[in-house]
Amino acid sequence: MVVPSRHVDFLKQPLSFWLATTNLANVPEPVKCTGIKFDPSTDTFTCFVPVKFTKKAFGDLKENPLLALIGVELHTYEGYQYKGPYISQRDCTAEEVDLQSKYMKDFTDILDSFGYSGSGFFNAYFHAPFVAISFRAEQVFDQSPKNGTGGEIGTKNS
Amino acid sequence: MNGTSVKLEEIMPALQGVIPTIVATSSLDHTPNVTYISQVYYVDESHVALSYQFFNKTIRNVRENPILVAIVTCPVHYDIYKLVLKYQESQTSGEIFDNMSMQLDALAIVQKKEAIFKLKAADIYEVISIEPA
Repeated sequence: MVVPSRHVDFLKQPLSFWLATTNLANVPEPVKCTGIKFDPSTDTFTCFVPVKFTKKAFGDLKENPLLALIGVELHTYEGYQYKGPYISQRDCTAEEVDLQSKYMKDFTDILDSFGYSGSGFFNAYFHAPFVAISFRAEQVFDQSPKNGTGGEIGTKNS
Repeated sequence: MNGTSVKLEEIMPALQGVIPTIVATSSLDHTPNVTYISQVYYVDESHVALSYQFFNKTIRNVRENPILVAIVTCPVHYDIYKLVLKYQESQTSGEIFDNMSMQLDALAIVQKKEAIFKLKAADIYEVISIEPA
């Protein structure tokens, strides 16, 4: 496994998740995820994204099938980035839309506790319909804010 | 600025550092990188400065491929903007650096991260475009 086993529970929290692609001209594109699922048996991430935000990202994936996902815990800023090749995309199931709704509720509750408008965030990012984009993590990086951040902590070659 | 429908002055509330900014870069081998940064600082109508706190992949990427995409969020109306930026230079002294350092110190106190929120440099970027995300 590339992704450390302790990340399985970490990733179940309402982290701030962002996915990024880049095209062959090396112009990147970050998109907000409205939830993720992680399968530790295959190191596969399934990232849920509103279709509204995916126009450039889908074009990028046709040219360059590489993805990067960051997940950051909002209280501690503990965060990790996962990179690897694109596998597939499909429409989200009704069950996955429910999962996203719960994730966004939990995520925006945290923002409320910080004094931000959780509902403002919810309305800015939660837009149906949604797609599920899957990729296999082949590299993991520590993104927590500290000296030495960005260090690789997992790779398929290790 | 090229192809810009929104002016930098119109999104000033999104540049106050209230809501952390997402930045994406790409290495020359087409590998994307995505992370958070603390500050996007208004320099003038066509330039911003980004806080450089750690020597990490973002910094390495923009030195070899100067295009960076930032997502900023207005903390009042929650409007989201995508800024396409082009790295120009890194400043380690002067008015921009001093002002960013002061702002970062204030953020660090609020977030109890004084030990790690130290500005190494103010990286200056040209604003190529701004769009509602």
